[in-house]
Amino acid sequence: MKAMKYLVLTRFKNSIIEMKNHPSKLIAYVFFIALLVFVLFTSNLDGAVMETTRPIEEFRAIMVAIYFMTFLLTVLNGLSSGGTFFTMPDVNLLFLSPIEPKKILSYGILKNIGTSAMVGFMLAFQYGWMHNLYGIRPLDLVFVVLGFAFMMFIANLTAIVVYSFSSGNERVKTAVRWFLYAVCAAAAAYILIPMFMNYQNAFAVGLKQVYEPYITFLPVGGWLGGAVAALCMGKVSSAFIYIALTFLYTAVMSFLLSKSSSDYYEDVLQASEKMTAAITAKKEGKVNYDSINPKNVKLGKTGINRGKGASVFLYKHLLENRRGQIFILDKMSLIFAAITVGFAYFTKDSQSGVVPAFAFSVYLMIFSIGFGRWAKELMLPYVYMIPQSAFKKLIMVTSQSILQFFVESALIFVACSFFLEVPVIDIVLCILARTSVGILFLAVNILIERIVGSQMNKTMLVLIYFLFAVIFIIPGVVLGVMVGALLNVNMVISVMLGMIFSNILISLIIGFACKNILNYAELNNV
Amino acid sequence: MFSVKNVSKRYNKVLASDNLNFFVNDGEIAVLMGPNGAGKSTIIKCITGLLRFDGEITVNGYENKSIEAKRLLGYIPEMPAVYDLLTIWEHLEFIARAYEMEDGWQNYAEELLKRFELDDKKNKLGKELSKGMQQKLSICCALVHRPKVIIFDEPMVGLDPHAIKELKLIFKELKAEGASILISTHMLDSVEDYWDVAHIMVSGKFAATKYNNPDNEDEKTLEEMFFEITENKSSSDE
Repeated sequence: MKAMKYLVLTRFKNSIIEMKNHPSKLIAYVFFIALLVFVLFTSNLDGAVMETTRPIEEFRAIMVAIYFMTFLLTVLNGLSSGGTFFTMPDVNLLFLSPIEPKKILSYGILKNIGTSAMVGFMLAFQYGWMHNLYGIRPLDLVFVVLGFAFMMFIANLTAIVVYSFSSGNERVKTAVRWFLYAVCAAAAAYILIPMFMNYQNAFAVGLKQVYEPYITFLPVGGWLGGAVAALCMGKVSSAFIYIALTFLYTAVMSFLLSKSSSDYYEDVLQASEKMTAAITAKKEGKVNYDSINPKNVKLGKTGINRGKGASVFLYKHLLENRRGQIFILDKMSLIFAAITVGFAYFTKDSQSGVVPAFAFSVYLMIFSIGFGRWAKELMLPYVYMIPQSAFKKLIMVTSQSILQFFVESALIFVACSFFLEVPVIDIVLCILARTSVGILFLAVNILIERIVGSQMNKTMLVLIYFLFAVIFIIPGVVLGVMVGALLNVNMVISVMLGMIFSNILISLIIGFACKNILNYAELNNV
Repeated sequence: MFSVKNVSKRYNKVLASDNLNFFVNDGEIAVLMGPNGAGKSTIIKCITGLLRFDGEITVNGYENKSIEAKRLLGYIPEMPAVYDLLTIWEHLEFIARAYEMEDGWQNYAEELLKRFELDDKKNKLGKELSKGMQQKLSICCALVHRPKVIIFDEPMVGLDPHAIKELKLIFKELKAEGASILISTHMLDSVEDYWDVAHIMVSGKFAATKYNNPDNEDEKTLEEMFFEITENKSSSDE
C-alpha cells in the first residue's frame, strides 16, 4: 500500500505545485467557486420560507429521473466498455507491479470517489431554479450533490461488476442489457399505461403517476433520488430506508467484485484505453467526442458525391452525420433539447410566456457550442492546407453547425408551442433568435481561436469563452429593451429582434475580422 | 523548390526555431535530423502553414500560406490524420474534390492504394484502420494531388517493411519527377542512400549541414556526424 499512498500524495502535491506554476487553473477554481457563491446568494441564501411555484413531488420526480438515467447510462456504457477506475498509466505501471490486485482495486475505487464528487459539484450550479421553484435550501443542495456523487460511484462500481461477469460472454451481456431495458420499460409503462387508459385526462394522470412515490422503487437511481427528495422534504425515516437499501446494494456489489476481481486486469485494460482516448480527445478540444463519433456506425452508401472546393466540407459533414446515424442533430443536441422542453413545461405557469424557456435554451447552448464537427476539423491539417479561400472554408466548415442550431431551435420551440400559450410570432422569433445566438457563440469560439490559437490552457480558454459569450450577447438585449421602451411595443418581440440583428451583425464582423483564421491558426497537435 | 528565410518560432519562453535559413531545390531530397525536442516538427509545421512564425517561407516563389502555395504542398504529419467516419476511398475523393482535381485522379489514387496494399480495403472506415494503415492512408492523401513540394514528418513510424520499401521507392520517383522533398526522421539508416542534403538540428538551430558526397571516402558518415554533434551537445550540457 506504500506505493499507492506515495502515488496519491505525490499526485496531490504536484497538482498543488502545478497550480502555482500555471495559475490559470487556480483562477478557474476561484472563478467557479465565486460563481457558485454568486448563484447561492442571488437565489436567496437565507433559506427563508418563500412561496414556491411547483409541488415538491415534482422535484422528487426530477431527482429520480436524473439519478436513474445517469445510473442507467453509466451501467449500459460499462457493459460495452467496462466502467473503469483506472487510467492507462495505472494499467501500465501499477498492474505490472508486484502489488496485490485487490489493493490496487481499492486504490481505484477511492480515486473514483474524488472524480464522482466533482461531477456532483456541477449540480450545485442548478441551485437557482431548485430554490425558486421548489424551495430547496442550501442544506438540501448538499444532499443533492452528495447523493449524486454517491450514485456515480455506485454506477461505476456496478458497471465494473457487470463487465467482469459478462466480459467475453455475449449472452450474459445481452441478458443484462435486456434486463436494464426492461426496468426502463416498466418505468415507462407505469407512467404511460394509466395515461392511455384515461386519455382524456392523460396529462393530469401522467403527472399524478410521477408524483407518486412508487417511481423511487427503481433500483439505486430511484432509491438515491428518493432518499435525497425525502431528506429535502424532511422525511428522515423514508430517507433512511432508501439509504439502507443503497448501502446493502453497495455491499453486495463489493462482495461480487471481490469474488470476481482476482483477474480483472483484462477487463479494465480495454476500458482504460477507451477512456484515455476520450480524455486525450477532450484535452485536444475534441469535445463531445463520443457524440459525434459514435461506436455503432452504419457504412451505407459510399462516396461523398457532391461538392467541389470548400463546399466539400459541408457534404463530408453530412455524410459523417448519416454514417454516425445522426439526422442533423446529434445525441447531445437531442438531450439538451429534451431538457429545455422539460424545463419549459415546468415553468409554463410562470406568467413570462416563452422567455424562461428561451433563456434556459440559450444558457445550455453555451455548453454545447464547441460540439460541432467544425471544432474537430480545426484539429486536423486538411482544412488549413486545402487551397481554397480561407473565408469560404470557414463558412463551409461551420455550415453544418448553423443548420443544426436552426433545426434544434425549431424542434425545441415547436414542441414548446404545444403547451405554452404564446403567439406564433413569438415562437418563430425564438427560433430565429436562438439560431442567431448559436451563430454568435460559434463566432466567439472562432474569435478566441484566432486570438490565442491553441497555445493557451484549455481551462483558461473556456473562461475567456464564457466571458466573451456574455459580453457579446448583451448589446442585442440592451438594443431590444431600448427600442421596446422607446416605441412602446411588445418587449419580447423587441428583444428577440434586437438580439437577431445584433448577434448576426457581431458575428459578421467577427467572421470578417477572423477570415484568415484558417491561414494563421496555430495547429500544435498534428 | 521552397525556401526558408530567417524563420523563428517561439512558444511562450521557448525558442523552438531560431532564425533558420535553408532551401530545397527541385528534384532534391533534404533530411532533417536531431534529437527529440530539437525543433524539427516546429519548422515543418511552419513550412506547411500550420503555425505562425517570424520570417519568410516561399513555395515555388509563392508565400507559403497563399492558395497557390497550398496547391503545390503535400504534408504527411507525424500522427496520421484521418477522419473516423470516412472510408479510405472517400478520403481520397475528399482531397480530389477539395483540390478541385480533374477527372482521372482515380487512376493515380488506385495506384497509390495498391502500392500501400490498401486497395482491398477501400470501404474500410478511418476508425477501423490500425495506426500503420492510417499512416499509409495519410501518405496517399498527401500525394494524390501530385504536389511539387512534399514534407514528411517521421513517415516511417508504424509502417510495415513492405510499406517502408515502397515509400523509399516513392521518394526516389518523386525526386526524379522534380519534386522538392523534406523528410524529418530519426531512422538514420532509412535515408542513408538517397538524400542530397542533411541538416542536423539541436535546440532550434542547425548544428551542421552535410551534402551527400559518396565519392569522398574521407568524409564522416551521416550517422557518425549525428552522434558526434548530439552526444557532444549533451555532454557539454552536463
